[in-house]
Amino acid sequence: MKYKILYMFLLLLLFRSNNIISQEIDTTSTEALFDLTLEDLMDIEIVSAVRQNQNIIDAPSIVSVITEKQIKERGYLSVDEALSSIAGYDVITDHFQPNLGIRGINGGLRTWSRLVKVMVDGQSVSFRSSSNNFLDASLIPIEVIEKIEIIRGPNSALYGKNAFLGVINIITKSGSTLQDNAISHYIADINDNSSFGISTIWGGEKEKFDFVFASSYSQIDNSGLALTNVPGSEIYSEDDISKKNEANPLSIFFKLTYENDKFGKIILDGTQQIINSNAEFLDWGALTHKNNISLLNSYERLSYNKYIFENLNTTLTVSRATGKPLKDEVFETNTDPSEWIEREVSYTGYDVTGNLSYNFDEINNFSIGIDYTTDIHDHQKFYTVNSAGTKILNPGGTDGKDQFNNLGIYLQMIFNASEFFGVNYLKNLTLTAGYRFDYHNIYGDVLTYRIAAVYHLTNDISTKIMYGTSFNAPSSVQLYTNYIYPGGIVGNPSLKPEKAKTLEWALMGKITESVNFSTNVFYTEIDDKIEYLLPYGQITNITAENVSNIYSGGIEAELNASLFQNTAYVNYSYQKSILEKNDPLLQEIKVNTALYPNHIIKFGDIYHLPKFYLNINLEGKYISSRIASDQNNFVYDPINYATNRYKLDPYLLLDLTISSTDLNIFKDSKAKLSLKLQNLLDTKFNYPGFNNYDIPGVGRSIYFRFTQNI
Amino acid sequence: MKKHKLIISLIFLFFLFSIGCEKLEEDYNIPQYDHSIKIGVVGDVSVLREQVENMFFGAKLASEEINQMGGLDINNKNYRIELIFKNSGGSPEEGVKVTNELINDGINIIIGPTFSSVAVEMAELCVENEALMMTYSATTPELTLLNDQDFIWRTCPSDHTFGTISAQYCIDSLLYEKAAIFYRNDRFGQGLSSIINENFQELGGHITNYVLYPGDIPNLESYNFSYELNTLLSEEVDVIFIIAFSSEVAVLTNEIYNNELYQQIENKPKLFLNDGIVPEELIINGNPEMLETVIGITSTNEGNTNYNMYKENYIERFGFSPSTYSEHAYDAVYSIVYAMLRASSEEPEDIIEFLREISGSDLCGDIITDQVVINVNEFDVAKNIIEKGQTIDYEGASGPLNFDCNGDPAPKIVIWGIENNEYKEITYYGK
Repeated sequence: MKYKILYMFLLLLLFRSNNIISQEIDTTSTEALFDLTLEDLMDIEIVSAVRQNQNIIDAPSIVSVITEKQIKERGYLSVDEALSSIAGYDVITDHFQPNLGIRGINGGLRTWSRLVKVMVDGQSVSFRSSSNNFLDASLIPIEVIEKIEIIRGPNSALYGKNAFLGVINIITKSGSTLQDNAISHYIADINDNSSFGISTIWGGEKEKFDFVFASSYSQIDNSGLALTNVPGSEIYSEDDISKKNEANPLSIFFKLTYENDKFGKIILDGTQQIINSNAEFLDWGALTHKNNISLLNSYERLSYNKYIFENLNTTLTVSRATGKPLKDEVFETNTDPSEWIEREVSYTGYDVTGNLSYNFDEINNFSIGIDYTTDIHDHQKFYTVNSAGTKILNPGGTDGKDQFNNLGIYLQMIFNASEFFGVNYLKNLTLTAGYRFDYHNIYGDVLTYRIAAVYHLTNDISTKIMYGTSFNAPSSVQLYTNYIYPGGIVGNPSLKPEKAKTLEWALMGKITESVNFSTNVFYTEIDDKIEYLLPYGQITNITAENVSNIYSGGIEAELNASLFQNTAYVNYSYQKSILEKNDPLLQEIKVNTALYPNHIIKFGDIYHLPKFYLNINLEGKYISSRIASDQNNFVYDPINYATNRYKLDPYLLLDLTISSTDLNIFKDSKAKLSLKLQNLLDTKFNYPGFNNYDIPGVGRSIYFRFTQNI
Repeated sequence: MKKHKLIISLIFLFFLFSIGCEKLEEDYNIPQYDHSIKIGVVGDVSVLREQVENMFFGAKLASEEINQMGGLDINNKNYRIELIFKNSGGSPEEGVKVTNELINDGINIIIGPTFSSVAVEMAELCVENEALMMTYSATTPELTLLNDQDFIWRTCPSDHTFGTISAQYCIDSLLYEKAAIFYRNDRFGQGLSSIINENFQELGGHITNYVLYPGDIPNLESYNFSYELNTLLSEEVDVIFIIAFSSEVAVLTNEIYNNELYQQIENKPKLFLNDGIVPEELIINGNPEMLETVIGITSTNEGNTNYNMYKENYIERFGFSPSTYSEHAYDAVYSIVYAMLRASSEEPEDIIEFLREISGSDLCGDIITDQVVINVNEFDVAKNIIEKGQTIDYEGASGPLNFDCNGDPAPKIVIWGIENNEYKEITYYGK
């Protein structure tokens, strides 16, 4: 299979070369295809830090951006792959869904990226029953992404719950910014299994209307991976491998815009995310070969935006979000074919938001916003079903209110210190203050705020100091679920929100026109961290509890350069995080947090070969060792597992992508080819697991992608 | 100016780090003692973590209480109790291995293990090395019969007591005639099932089916019980004696309920559970339709004042309720420490001379009546009395111990059930 893909790629390149020979080569325009400036990286405007356009070096947050161009050149197929290149983020996976850790903290068992708020054009896309963010290819068709704005640090003062340790806002293209309609197809060899994907994007503008539609579907086969035993244990043999580990993510996005100077702008948009995975490495049924997690998660939104006066902008949105399992979902905890588990869980959420923003001038701004959310939950319930058709509700769990209501009000002020205080020497200082009040009918009031100061040392270099608070709300699943199997996770209705406070200092800017940098130091404290605890006492079920505090500090540094024919980046992050908790034997202890490495180095270089219509991208990451999960450390040392913990080995991963620029394979239409070798060195590595085993990473894989404009 | 800006920036950097650095250090909070008496605590924690850790915590609570009250003075030297925890992993080989480790480290007082299947081999090794072993939950009658030279003790009752009372209660009080037995195939299951079988039939009852299931199933949820249950349920009975670990019972109730033969039975049999079951866990994880058919037996007596004081202390210290047998581990530490104080020695051969006395028994196991009764929370009182050369009768968290000639206690036995999802004590046997 691997050789077939390589052969096909070479054949098409040859075909392309013949085609080029027959044309007159315009080297000027070809070289223009390779935009070698750093515009994408440092002069870019972002919207997520304060909910309005700002230059990245003025934004009162630590922000990174991944552009459409980078996505293409690096061959990313999903948002989680793109996030893997960002400093301060660590993406692990259980081959069901990626799980994002940030700055030394990973949520652990069944967290699936719930430490951040993930949005599409400002609309939260989490599966609200569990607050999980599914970041795989089902999240959004990758072709429709214009850029991804990634904020590290708290942002609840603006976005409310779950903007806890970070915010990821995916900005989509519109019909007017879409260069061409396209259809894209890839075939891949992953672990000697065939995989494929197909996606389309289509859009344009006509008179006052602008529309874009995109869809993607993949079939990814991760079969053939063997479980890795905890050191010293021999629970699993070489024969314990994933036999049917397919994922079939499907994603649909649409956006229709009508804009008229008098009327304003009205947008109807939405996504549909279908997650379909055999999930062979989950804690309740590893390698049972019959799990099939199948979920639908979607939203539709109507937004209205208008400048009432020249400087007064108003935005109103109404949205509806739904999520539920699809009918073919099944959980299999054992090999008994006469019994299986089904679940009921669903939500329907309605959001109404309003925002008024007054711009005094280019810098000074005052915003006020209000949002009201009602989520109607059918709380998660697992049933044991047998072949005779009997369906019995599994025990455990608690009944709770079906309706979660949240009212949020926020204020934000951005002002130049010199004008505000009347002091001339502060003319380069911009201050941002934000405050938000949330009232939730389940867990009550939460106040969050942030203050930030951005000081321009030069035109191109700024320094920032920021302090903010945030919270992560317990989800319906954490509060009320019953168990999948006896002893499994049950809800805890007395959970409180987790709360964080973060102090950050950053220095960023351009050193020269072709080199820029960004560095920051951060310190975060989390109170009432929710953890899935190993059970103690008379209760033998795993429950989520607010049991620990986390102290996390670190430094992140990033350098981007565009020299000769290379566009390169390197970033390094060091983080040290301490978990403070009450251990029954040792009482109050402080230990390094599990699951997150201390050192991460990420790097990449795109070598542009305009004469050959090629980009060659080499990207890599070094992940230092990380402490295994508490659940696995119990297997490693059943007595001293709180303090004597094993570490997963460090690893280096390299990806090589060779991609073409626009080619004329078919007459009058452009096409692109790319070949990606993921894990080029075939490094053997493991992600942390949570039930007596660690989860193997995927070995060398080959992706061949063909995109044809239509 | 640029220099100043750089300096200001560096000051910020330093400021940020200095705030966090203090909190970013690990601290395992391990106590350090000048002089300590080390006691090994062995449990099969990797097999039955939830319960065995509670037993460890019971022992830990006792040692912390003793240390907080000033420890113990032996020959004018003050000692603290230091517990060394070991995992015997549910296998005799592992039990022997960790016992050897302890003995080689000079630790010749061992509390544990948890399982009967581990206890006998460990006991033999302890006797050979003249080490004192006191188990808190291994109920096998084989320990009673062992030629132990008084080195082997236990604070939990023997299966002989549990088995006899189980059969007696079913025949005499519930007037049952037909029973089946479903047991885990290990030393514990084989021993207790045979005692129940013998006693039930001796009292006039009839055992229809006697079915075992493997005692080494790595993941019970993934085991297909169809064959075993179809055999077990092939004849209608009044009661099914289930001999299983606490962690297995919830799964078994679900498996039995989902069995088609069980559903066809008109008069559903009662399920009689062995000792060591945690009712709260069963209420959450067991099949709800089966809960009211459950009868259980235990030596944990919720009506006992000493147990309730212990439970209160335990919850205050750990933040959750103790599970069964943790009070027996607690009593094991106190029994040994009181005997050490009486013997003014930390040597096993001296301690065993006083273990019966501090439990209120004479050398033949008969109860002595003129001693000062020492309850839970009275370590300082006991210390004073012993320092004056007087004797005590330690009434533990598990009730009166009164070690007999074989080193077995004579506690009160409770028959319990579940009503409206709540644990309920039904009747009592013993003093």
